[in-house]
This record gives sequence, C-alpha cells and structure tokens, in this order.
Amino acid sequence: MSKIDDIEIISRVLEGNTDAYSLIIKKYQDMVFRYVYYQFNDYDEALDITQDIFITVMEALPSFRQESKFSTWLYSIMVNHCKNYRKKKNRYSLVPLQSKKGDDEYEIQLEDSRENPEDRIITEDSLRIVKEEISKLPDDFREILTLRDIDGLSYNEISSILGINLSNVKVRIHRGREYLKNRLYARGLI
Amino acid sequence: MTSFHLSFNQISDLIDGDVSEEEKREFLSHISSCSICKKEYDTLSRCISLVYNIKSEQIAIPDICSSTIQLYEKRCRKRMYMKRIPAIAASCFIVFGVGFAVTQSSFNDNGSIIASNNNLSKTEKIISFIRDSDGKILKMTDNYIESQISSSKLEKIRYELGKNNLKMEIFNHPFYQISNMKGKNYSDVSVGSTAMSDVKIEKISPNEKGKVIIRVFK
Ligand SMILES: [Zn+2]
Repeated sequence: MSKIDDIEIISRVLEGNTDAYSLIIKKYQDMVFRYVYYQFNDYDEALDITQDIFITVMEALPSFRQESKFSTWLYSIMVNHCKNYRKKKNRYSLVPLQSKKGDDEYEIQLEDSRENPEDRIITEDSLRIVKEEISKLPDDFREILTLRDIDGLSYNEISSILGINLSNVKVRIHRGREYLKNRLYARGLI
Repeated sequence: MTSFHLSFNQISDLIDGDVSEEEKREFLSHISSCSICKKEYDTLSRCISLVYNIKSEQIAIPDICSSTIQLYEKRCRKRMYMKRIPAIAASCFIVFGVGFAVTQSSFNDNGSIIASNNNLSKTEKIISFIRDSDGKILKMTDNYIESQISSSKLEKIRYELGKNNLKMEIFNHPFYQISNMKGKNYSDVSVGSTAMSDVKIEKISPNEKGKVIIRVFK
C-alpha cells in the first residue's frame, strides 16, 4: 500500500471525511505525546493534553496554509497549547510552579554537591535523573531543548515553531544546554 | 590554531555542526591539543546524548484516534446546541431532485469514478449556470460545486439545472451553513429531532442577507 502524504489526508479531512483524520493522529500521536510528557512529566495529564492538541489541530485545519510542512505547523500548535496550558495551570495553582524570567535572568544553580562523583550511575537511574532535571528546567529551556536535543529539529524549524529569530534560537539553546549541563554535572551524571 | 580556549557556545555550535569548515578544523585541532576544552566538549556531548536517550524510554501510549475523534464530535455537537435555537427557528431545508437521499450517500464514494470528460463538461455547464445567475462560487469538489446566489435567482437556476438533469441542494438559511459531521448536507432533518445532534452549523457572514448557498452536484 502506498504511503499517503499529509497533504492528501488533510484535503480529505477538509472534504468532510473526519475518519481520515485518524491517519494523522496515528502518525503523530507518539511525537505529540512525548513532547507533552516531557513538558509536564505526568502520564495522565500528557494524555489529556495530547487529545486536546489533536482537537485543536482539527479545528484549525482549515487555516493551514501549505507554506510550511504540516509537521512544523503541528509543532507550533502543540508548543503553544502547552504554553497556554501551563499558564492556566499556574494561574490556578496557589504556589506558582515556576516564576517566569527572561533568558538572561536564570542563575546557574550549582548548590548541589556531587553525590558519589566517582560512581557512574547506571542507566535506569540516569534516565530518571535526566527526566527529573528536564522537568525542573525553566520553561523556555525545556521547550527548546526538547525540540532540539530530543526531537532533533533544525534551528530553522525551531525558529518558525517558536516564532523567534535564528539568533535567539541559538542563544536560548546555548543557555539551556549550559544550564542543564551544570545541573547534570551537579547530579554526578556527567 | 586558536590560542584561547573555546567558549561554551563554540563547543555547542561545533557539536551541532553549526560552524564553517574552517572553524570546524580549527576547533577540533584545538580540542585535540587542549585537555580543558576536550573535557568541556566531552561533558557537553554526554549531556546532549543523555537528553537524547530519554527517547529510548518505552512508553505505552494507548491509541487515542477514536476517542479523540469522538471527543471532537461531542464538542462540535455541544457548540451546535449553543447556536441551535436561532438556527433551527429560521432554517428550512428544501431539497430538489428525485432520489436525492440515495444519490447523496453514494456521491463521496463514486464521485471520482465518473469519466473526467463528462465531469468537465458538467462542471463547465454548472459554472456557466452559476455565472448566469450572478452567483459566487464558494467551493469546488469532485462531487459538487457550492455557490452563493441571490434568492431571487433561485427559481431560474433551479429550472435551468433541472432541464439539464443536474441535482441541486439548498442551504436556505442566509446566516448559517448547515451540514452533518461528514460534511454532507442535511436533507432530512426535522426540527428538534435527535438527528440534529449530528449537524454542524457554521455561521456565515451576516452581510450576505438575501443570498442562499446551493450545491450543484455533478
Ligand atoms: Zn582550550
């Protein structure tokens, strides 16, 4: 069976064939779920948000202009959805989870002393620690490092997804990596 | 060769391949001879690969296709209920063409099988009828052409189309476009019936008063 491309599926959906949309969901649900999961580090929450994202995408589909790849467009909806969700969540929680700062204002935290610096931590543990540290990153850093270092997107793609220019993409990647590197160093992982 | 140590940003760019060939040679040669920068390079490389490796975690994700589409349709219905009262009160569905209901259900499946020549001439005919009625074409698909015409031209175009054996359907409401979830027009909806729960109603521009939207099937 030949692989049907996104554009063809989308035109079918826009023709009124809602069922064709399941092809889009099947193709991208893993990608979307993982992105959301890394942002919120909560399985059930990530599942709900993933569904909401696909509904938002479906509703926004008529506005999709084929100037960008569908996946890039989907990414930008997904990233914004997570941003808005977090904003709402923070607004309603009594203690804000994270204070919002600009890229410049993050201090590199090195307060943790290295526990057992001689030991190489085994894989399962390192996976848990990396996830934990990623979840504790400032939002902007977590967002951009997920796109760059987990999903492997190009600077150009990230620029259009986040709506920031290339030099800001680079600056944010540099700062995010430096921040995370210091955290993982403090945890004895690197 | 660089006499200064490489900056963190340079190392990061090097790992990303975001450097010129010349820089790449220069940086690598510095790293090979400088233990401090070598250590920085290794540390960041390991950091990036640890981050990348969280992808290797097996996460069982349930298939969310059907539940998502169901949720989507549920929300559409909910939205429709909000708009329903004024829409239903004012709407009236008129269907022309014998055996329309039967034809409608088979259109999507068979529409593209129709010979293209035949289709083209039909398309041309339909367009010319719409043009003669000063209509505006809104949408063209393999199966039908959707257009907006003034209600005063309705009788004329209906007569012309009928003469040419073309079927047509009307959305008689000037403010709302009404279709079911599959995007098909609704022909047999009685006001207040449960079937309405499947209907999608989209508001169209209010300055289009006195106009009707019709679909002419090929
Ligand atoms: Zn050096």
